[in-house]
Amino acid sequence: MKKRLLKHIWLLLWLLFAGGTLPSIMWGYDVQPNCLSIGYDLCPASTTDYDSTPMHIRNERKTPGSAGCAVFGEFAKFLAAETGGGADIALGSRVGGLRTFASDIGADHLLDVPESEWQDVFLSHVEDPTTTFHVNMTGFYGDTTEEMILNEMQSGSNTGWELQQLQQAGRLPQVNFYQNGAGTLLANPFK
Amino acid sequence: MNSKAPIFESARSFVVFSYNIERGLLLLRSRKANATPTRIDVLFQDVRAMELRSWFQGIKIEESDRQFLETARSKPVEMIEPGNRIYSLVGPGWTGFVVGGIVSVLEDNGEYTSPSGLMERKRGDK
Repeated sequence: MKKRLLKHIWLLLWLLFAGGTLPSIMWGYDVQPNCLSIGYDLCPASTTDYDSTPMHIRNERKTPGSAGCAVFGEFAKFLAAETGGGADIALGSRVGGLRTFASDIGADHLLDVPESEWQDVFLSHVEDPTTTFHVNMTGFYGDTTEEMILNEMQSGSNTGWELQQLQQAGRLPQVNFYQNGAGTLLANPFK
Repeated sequence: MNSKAPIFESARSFVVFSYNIERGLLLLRSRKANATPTRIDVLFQDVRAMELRSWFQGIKIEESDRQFLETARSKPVEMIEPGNRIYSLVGPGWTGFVVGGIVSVLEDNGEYTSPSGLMERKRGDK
């Protein structure tokens, strides 16, 4: 994904040219060696709060920890604004191949978010205008895309609940709907 | 066969308490007893293949690999999608498996049939 690649390049450049000028205590990745390996997770919530503004890093709601993280948080917001995108979240039935769908389009999913937290994580993404949602409609029923989405909302499924939240938040017009996994991107009937 | 240290190990008695298809929640539960006055819940998420007993005494759960599943006649390897994990479940005299997502463990004072703290929605600070 072009946007994602651009973000990573920006991040690398920033770490090379700006990160080195900050004292290491402002970062925390020296004691969190795995932080860099999971994207932008440089701000473990366990560190002392400085900037309490929650951030959404991949599937997780994070609270930036130290002063360096606050700087990083601003930078991440800048990147999101500049590149026009935050997280990409894949939705749909796991029986319909949600993991594969997410992998195919380069998006995250919420299947590995703890059961007691996934709804709140999802709602955080709904509130975040930089998050893009992608719905795999495999398993939905109806004659048109619109009918399929509306039927799914009434089905009582978790995906139906997620679609209801998107509808209530006025986000449906920005959602990408797919058929046959990632194979076919459909016209959005809610635009 | 197994490449990682045990995720969970207990000598207690467990039952398969529930399975929910929506998010593939498989809940194993050990109820309170005189000798063990706590409840233990083990929750697997996104479960799409499994072989285990409905109740058992003692369990060791480890993360394993595809090779571990090769001889399973239900062909669970075919169910694996990106990010899925393979768990071996070893009891005294038997071995099973779970293919799914993350696994969580909670020990609390809950009653046998009361909801699991691992499955109740935590309200955020919003």
